[in-house]
Amino acid sequence: MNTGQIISAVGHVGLIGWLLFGGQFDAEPLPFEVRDVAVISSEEFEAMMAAQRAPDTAADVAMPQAPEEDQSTPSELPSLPDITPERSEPESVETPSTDERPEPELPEPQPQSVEDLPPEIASPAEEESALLVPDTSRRPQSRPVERVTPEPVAQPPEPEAAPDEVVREETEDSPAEETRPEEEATAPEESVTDITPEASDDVTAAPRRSARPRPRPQSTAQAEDEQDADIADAVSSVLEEAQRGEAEASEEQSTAPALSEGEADALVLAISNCWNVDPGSTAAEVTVVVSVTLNRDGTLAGTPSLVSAEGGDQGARNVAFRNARTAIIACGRGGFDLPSEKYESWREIEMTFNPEKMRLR
Amino acid sequence: MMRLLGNLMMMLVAAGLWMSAAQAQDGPLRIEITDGVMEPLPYAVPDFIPENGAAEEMAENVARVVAADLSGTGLFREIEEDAYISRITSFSSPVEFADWRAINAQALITGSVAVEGEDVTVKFRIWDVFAGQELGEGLQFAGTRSGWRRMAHKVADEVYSRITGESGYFDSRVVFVSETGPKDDRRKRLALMDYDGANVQYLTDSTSLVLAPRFSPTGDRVLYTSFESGFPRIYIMDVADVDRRVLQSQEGTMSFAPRFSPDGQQVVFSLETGGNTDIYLMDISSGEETRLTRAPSIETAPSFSPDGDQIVFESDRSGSRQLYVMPATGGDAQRISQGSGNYGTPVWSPRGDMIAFTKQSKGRFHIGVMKTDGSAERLLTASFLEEGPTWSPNGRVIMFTRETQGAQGQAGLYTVDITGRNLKQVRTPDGASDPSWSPLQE
Amino acid sequence: MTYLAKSILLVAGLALAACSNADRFGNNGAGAGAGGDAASADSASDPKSPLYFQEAIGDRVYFEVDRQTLDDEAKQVLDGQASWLTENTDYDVVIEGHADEQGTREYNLALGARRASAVREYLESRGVSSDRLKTVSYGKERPIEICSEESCYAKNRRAVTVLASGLTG
Repeated sequence: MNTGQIISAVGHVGLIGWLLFGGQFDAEPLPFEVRDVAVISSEEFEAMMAAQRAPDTAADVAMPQAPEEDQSTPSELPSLPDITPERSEPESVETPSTDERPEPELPEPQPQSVEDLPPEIASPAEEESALLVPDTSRRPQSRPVERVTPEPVAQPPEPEAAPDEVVREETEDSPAEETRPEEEATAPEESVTDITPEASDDVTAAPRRSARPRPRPQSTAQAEDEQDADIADAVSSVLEEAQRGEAEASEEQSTAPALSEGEADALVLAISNCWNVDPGSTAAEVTVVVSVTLNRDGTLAGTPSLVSAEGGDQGARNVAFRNARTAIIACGRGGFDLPSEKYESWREIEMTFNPEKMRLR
Repeated sequence: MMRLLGNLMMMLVAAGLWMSAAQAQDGPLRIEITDGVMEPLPYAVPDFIPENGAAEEMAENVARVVAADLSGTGLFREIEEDAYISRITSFSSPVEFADWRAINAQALITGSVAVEGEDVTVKFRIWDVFAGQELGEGLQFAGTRSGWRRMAHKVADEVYSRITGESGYFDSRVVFVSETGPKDDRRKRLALMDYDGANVQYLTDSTSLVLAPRFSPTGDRVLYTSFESGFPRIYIMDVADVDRRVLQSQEGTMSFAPRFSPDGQQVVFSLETGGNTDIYLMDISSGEETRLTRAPSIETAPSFSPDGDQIVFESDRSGSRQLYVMPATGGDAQRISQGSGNYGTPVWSPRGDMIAFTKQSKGRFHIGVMKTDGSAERLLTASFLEEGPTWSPNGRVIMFTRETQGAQGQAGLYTVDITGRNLKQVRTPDGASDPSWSPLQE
Repeated sequence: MTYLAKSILLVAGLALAACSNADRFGNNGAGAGAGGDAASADSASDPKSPLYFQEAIGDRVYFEVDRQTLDDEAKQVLDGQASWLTENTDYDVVIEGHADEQGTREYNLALGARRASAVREYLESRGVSSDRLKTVSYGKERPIEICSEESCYAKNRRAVTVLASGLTG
């Protein structure tokens, strides 16, 4: 065995020692994490094996040649006096910087907004409302997307933790100019045009339309009603009351005609097709309610937001929300197919994503 | 009478109408989605950017291993490079989300590799394409050239974890029994490999029959059964230096089916005396033994719950082989398996919520899972002969032995997702059996 | 080198080395001699020879699925073994229990032990000193027939009485 091999073996044994007994990782996440991967490679493993067996360092992943014959009997295997004592010595060799390195506990990105990355990265991360924008200019079928915020301001980076050198270098090369155009070119113009009409719609539409949802059941009810005056009498009071209730309820909200069952079903179906559920995941234990605001053309106005989540831990909830959001964004890219005359009834939608039927765990 | 009925119905309809009308007008439209699709999540991982000439090959290799890891789960589907609209030309250049959205990539992984002598640095970022934002923060791994596969696995673990919210299993290893020779003269030796079948190494030669190695909770030691003495006995081996010693060698007895306790301090195993097999617990450092079962029937294949409080095992005390759970200190055992057929080799999942097992029924074998109370049994696989499930460190995948039928029958290792999907064979150089999955490496 | 050398190592290093010789599990009834033990020295016609024990008396008995019960045929064979062993006191015995491949590794090890133990108890009941008897189970690890059908399984569900001359483990 040559010197290099010995050095390698010693170093690697040290690494293993460090792996087994070395310091723990913990720290808050840095903007750009640096972790050393101390690796027990096949080479070093073989080196160790070689130290007690035949000197055959070249890690032979495939079939080792004539293994049984070459190898000594089992009883000889364990004796390895030369390596063992050295094991912990070289701990410092490759590891000095790594001990302090944090093991990131991967916080979910959404809640945490601060980045000290260049603007192009920072802005989308902070502002979920910027999501849809880039898409619109490119995809032929997509329609103008409305923005809630007038312009996606690229927030100035707030370095919360002093980044170490590696990070600095990484982040400071700023191709910011390249991105900003993309954000600004698309976002602001759309944000202005659509918001205003929507707002005025909201105000005017409400009082004008006499709100009477006419789902199918009612017509059948009326048909039967006519056949039997007695029943009609009995029922009419209830109906009246129902309408009074409607009127009261509609005072605060619009009184636009509601979606028919078929229209609502079509919407459910459209989103179902984009809702990807992994039945074996913990996210499948979570039911999320997501709020969506739509433009009159059926496109998303802003980003879907989480109303509530039930079941699972925080990580699972984050994933469940992200999956729901992706479903809405993916299927809403070209705008949902909804009757514009009933816009007021579907301008705001609360979508419950309930994977109960699909879950396995 | 009819009238009364009709009357009643009208009332109901009217009442229903009132309620729905009120609801429809109260606040936003509410819909509920209860059906989704089960499709692999489409992602793209363009070759990583080499930061210098020396890194070119590795930059590509790392990305390919990451892709193999992710796609291998069955939960992700890689979008081929041919479909890309825009390229990633530098690690720090901005991502054209629209281009990736247009090809339906929901996740995008970008990275770079630098190689300086033996040192390798891998940086990467994960992007939520549809949200148009980075998923978490950029991350950098530093390691050595020889460990590049592990670095790639770590990248993939990070990606998996950020996208699914659960930890990955790629930077892990499997200890197993490598098999050569015909069925009636089979040679077996302990072997170790990366979870994906790479880097196979041998821990013993094949002079003695060895069976069922089991990793310690930290992955540094292995328990196994060897006929080295002529009789089956339990050995413990230090993986790093292949140093091994016999753990249990009571004259006139047979010991086998060992597994570590979750703290790695104890071993639960089967001991046979006078033809009767029961379950025992041994403290590794003191060698002190405690007998946990006392029955004339066969009690074997014990496995600890991850909290160390309970032990699930196999027993034929009822006349057929069934699964039982008892306190880790012994005592009353509850039967949990209820189906027909024979159950064996139960293994508690690392998450603690399920038990995987082997089931033999109507001439076929299955790998299945059930809740720890025996409910919600699901069979994941079926074949002529399969057994010995082991859980991936994150409790998502089960690896097991499948043996083909007949005189030429050979054993191989397979993995299956706990949903029962994505059944795959793990490539091994020879026949292979009795896998045991390590924890994620640090 | 390999075979002989290994055999020698086994003999030298392990108690009952000859009994662990893999070839013994082969189809060849005379295989017991491969390791160089006493069995091959004599011919089958000599009633004192191990070969006679193996072939004329019969060194093995068979079992039903998942059972260790000795049927009449088995008892008859074991009666012969017991009287042979009573006369030939130079030999100790290792009783090997085996199972067919239908079953998990662990259960089959335990099942093989039950079978070996059933034979041991029977031989003891017929006057063979327990000091001379050892048991071991190979579970399903050492099939003698390799097809995946009942005809093979029936031959693999066995307990084999292996003579160990002079060697006491």
